[in-house]
Amino acid sequence: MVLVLADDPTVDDGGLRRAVEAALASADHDVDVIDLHEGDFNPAMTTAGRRAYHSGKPLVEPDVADFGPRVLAAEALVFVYRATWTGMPPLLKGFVDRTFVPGVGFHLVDGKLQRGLVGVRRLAAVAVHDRSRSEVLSVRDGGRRILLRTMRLIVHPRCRRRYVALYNTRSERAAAARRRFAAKLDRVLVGL
Amino acid sequence: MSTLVVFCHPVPDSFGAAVAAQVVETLGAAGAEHQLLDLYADGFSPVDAGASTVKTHRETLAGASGLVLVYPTWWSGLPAMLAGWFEQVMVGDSLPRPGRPQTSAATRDLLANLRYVAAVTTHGSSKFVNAVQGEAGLHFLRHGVHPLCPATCKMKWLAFYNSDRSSMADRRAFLERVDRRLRRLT
Repeated sequence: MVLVLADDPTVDDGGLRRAVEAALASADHDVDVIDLHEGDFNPAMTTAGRRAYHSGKPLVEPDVADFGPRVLAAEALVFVYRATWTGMPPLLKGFVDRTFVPGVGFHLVDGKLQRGLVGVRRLAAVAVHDRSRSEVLSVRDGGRRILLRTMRLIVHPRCRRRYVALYNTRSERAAAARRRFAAKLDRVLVGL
Repeated sequence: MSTLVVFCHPVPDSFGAAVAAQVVETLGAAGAEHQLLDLYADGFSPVDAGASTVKTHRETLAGASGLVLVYPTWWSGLPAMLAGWFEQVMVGDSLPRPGRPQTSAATRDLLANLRYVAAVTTHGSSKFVNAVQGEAGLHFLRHGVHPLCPATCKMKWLAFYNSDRSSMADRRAFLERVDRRLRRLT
């Protein structure tokens, strides 16, 4: 299982990382953690990376070179992030842009898309939102859309998808919601 | 009042760059004052652009009467670079929440003079595949950004599908379409 962490350690996100770690501690998974805040990962697709995109060897930059083999070896992909205005943080979008390139995420055969991550049978997104559920739905939850819907075309056709979200982190009733969030997180991550 | 063109593509000799050049040419031919912001050429940082850069971009945006975004659609959404521009330049201290005016006031002020917002974007895959994928970029613009613009502000979505299998003729036809549609807007 590959766990991609794109939470924001500088803000209060309701103990997102702790909750994920607690849920994983009770599960028996072989976890490979990619913490996008560690190292010097650059979320913007580079000129060299884009030029090499269709070359057959697209992962030319050192900061993404090992992401390819790691996600290809995964049976489950779990994304953890704090939602932003555009959906997911640019850091995580950069991971998606730069890692799921031809040869890793998909293959282009005569211009047609073929699945690349056929080994991935479980997808999960764990998101913390400042906004309420209805507000997030009204802007069509870009993070969820990309991670669980767009990605559907490149993973195993019968891949199971789960979305675990905590809404309204600023509200006064957040404590109960946090307990429910932690319980669901536990259930989903253990059951992956 | 001028039009702000935000261009985001890592490769300077890409079709995306040709589209941006067409946008600038059309605006010039239509006599519209315009300013091009090339995020890659300027070395903009999607995570930490620095306070002075953000301030300059905010001032430009606040004075703009039109906003044209030129970018490739990747994974149905904005490239990380452009998403980072939106997050840093358009979002103030708090996330814009349409139901709570005070949270979106900062963003609304930046967009207060806009008469139109247009996105000119290229997609590798077909319109059908994009529909299945969920078109996150279109939804963000239509439901996230456009409602914060003045009520009279128009929104235009100009998409070039199937760029992975496109011929030179297709691309020229798209540039002509961009030219026609943008003239109508300005």
